[in-house]
Amino acid sequence: MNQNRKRLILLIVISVGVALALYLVLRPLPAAKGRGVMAGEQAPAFTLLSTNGKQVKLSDFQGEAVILNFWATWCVPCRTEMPALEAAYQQYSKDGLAVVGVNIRESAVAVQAFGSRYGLTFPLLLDPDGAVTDQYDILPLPTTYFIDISGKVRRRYEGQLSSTQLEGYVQEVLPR
Amino acid sequence: MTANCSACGATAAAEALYCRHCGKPLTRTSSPPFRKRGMTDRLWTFFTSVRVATVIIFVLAAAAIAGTLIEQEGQYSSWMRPADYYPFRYGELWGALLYQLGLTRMYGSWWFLGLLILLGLSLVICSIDRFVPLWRLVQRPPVKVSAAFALRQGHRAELAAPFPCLEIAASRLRWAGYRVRTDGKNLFADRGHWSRWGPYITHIGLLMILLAGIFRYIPGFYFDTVIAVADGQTVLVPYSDFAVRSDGFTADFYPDGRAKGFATDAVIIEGGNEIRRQLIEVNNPLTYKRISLFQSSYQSVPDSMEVHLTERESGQVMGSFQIDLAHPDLEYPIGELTVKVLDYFPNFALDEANRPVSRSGSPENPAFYLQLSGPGIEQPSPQWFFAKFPDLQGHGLPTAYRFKAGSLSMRNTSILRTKMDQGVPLVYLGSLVVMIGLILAFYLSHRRIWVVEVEGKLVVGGDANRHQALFGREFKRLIESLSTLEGSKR
Repeated sequence: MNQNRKRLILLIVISVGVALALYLVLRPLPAAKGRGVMAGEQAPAFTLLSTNGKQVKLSDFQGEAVILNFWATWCVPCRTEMPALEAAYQQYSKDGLAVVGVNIRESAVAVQAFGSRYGLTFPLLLDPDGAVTDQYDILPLPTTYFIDISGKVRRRYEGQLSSTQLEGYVQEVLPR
Repeated sequence: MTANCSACGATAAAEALYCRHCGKPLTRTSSPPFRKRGMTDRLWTFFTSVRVATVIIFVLAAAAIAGTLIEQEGQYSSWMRPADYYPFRYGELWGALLYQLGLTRMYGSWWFLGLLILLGLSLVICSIDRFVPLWRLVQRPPVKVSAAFALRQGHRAELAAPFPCLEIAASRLRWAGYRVRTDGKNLFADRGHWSRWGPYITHIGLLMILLAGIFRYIPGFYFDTVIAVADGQTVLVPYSDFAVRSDGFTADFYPDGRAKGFATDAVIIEGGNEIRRQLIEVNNPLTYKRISLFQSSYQSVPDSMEVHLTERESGQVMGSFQIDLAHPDLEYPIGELTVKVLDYFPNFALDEANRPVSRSGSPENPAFYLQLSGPGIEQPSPQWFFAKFPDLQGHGLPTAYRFKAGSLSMRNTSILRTKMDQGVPLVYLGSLVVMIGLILAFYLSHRRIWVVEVEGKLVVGGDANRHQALFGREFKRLIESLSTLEGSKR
């Protein structure tokens, strides 16, 4: 086979191969699942009903630092860390800290009663069908997001927070 | 060591004097003048090299074996994310290494795909490389060869004068099923030349299977996911424009408790219309628009419960209400009375400090803290109501009324595995093509006979690329038949 023909065939075949390889490597993956919302990413917007029947949007807290806590009444570490979250809310709300608890797939009755039993004053939102839970790809409970005033996730913490940790992480996101 | 025939390009043994394919004498001196091997030649040699292809196939096989030994992402049973799971499962160093190298998502990793593509390129270029010589060999075999060439064949004979003329030999060979070409002085006959295309056709089949494998990575060609459809619920089928509704899940059991069969009465809904109704059973999926819905498993949870309000003394039923066990209302009216739901524990338990808690979110042991108010009730006092333990009262004053559990309705949720693989027909077609190629290559042989008329005798040489012994007998019979002709002429 002569050189020119070989060259042409190689060029065509290899370009097809490389194009296929590039496509397969660079193709947009169906929603990078199994990673969740990571630190450095913009916190996805959502709207949920709170236990007192109000519609609450994440953007309602624009300009404030937000602790977004995903929890459930049946989750023991969630119950354990609740007083620390309430304390942080009491201490820093005047400095521009909002605490938002997103309950996962439970009834309004149970969440409302839980809130009054624990004396929680920050808004408790209901995610009855788990839409926001899926949006944030929550795996273990509790999972807590620390969101800065620009709406960017600064830290994601999976598991029970101690009040010392909470103190440190709040300082990272509080407006100065 | 091998050499290439300068006439047809076929490979021949280094010590061979004649090309086995075209019969041209192989002359070492006539090889093309030395040329610097450029990029083109090097790439060409790389892709046409059998050794390279073999190495790729072995690496792919080794990777596939590793892929079955290392737990793949999405297949391990842990809630942990891959980046956390692998160091935990295989140790800090190894786990991180396996994860970073993509060995934990082998079949989608860039290097596995790269190897598949490399194998594909090798198959294509190799096929192109072999096409022209093969075409010449099969379609335009050289008729004119030397007597010496004919005599070097595996099977040979000399017919002394008087011998049949070439025309008679040609008709005899044709009658025996041979394809005959003659130029007056020489004769070439062959049979089963199709077998030469066997390996070629096998390569095409393999390429089709490879292509089907690559289809998996193209959106809309392949997906495999699971959907949950509760009784009466309509759920959109992923990656499609239709939905599926379950008109009821049923589970059958043998008397000893073993599962007999699961089935979902499914309806396909497209554009608001019911398109098809089918019972999805294990091993009997519903297939619509190339998407198959398989019965995978089911869940059965209490859905709602009827609660009766009775008078404690007489036991007379005052009224009833239906409680949704997933999301109970805050209040239920009974006539002029109102039942307020103060708290709800779907799976009631007491924690270490004896406080009521729920162990999980599913209503396995529903407990309500209820308070009845309305005319005739001076002092509303809350009371516990345990759906599964109606006699349990909890603390608090005995009230004039009590709650009684009515019927509990269960809701079945059918878990359907939703799968589409557009590559499957191509895999079957490719396998068929591979089989045809293999049959051609292994069960047929290319049998060739050269007849040269020299110095008052006929020199006959014969060769087969496979099944030599079989051809030897055929060759003997053919020579005998030619000799008989010779005799009849005498």
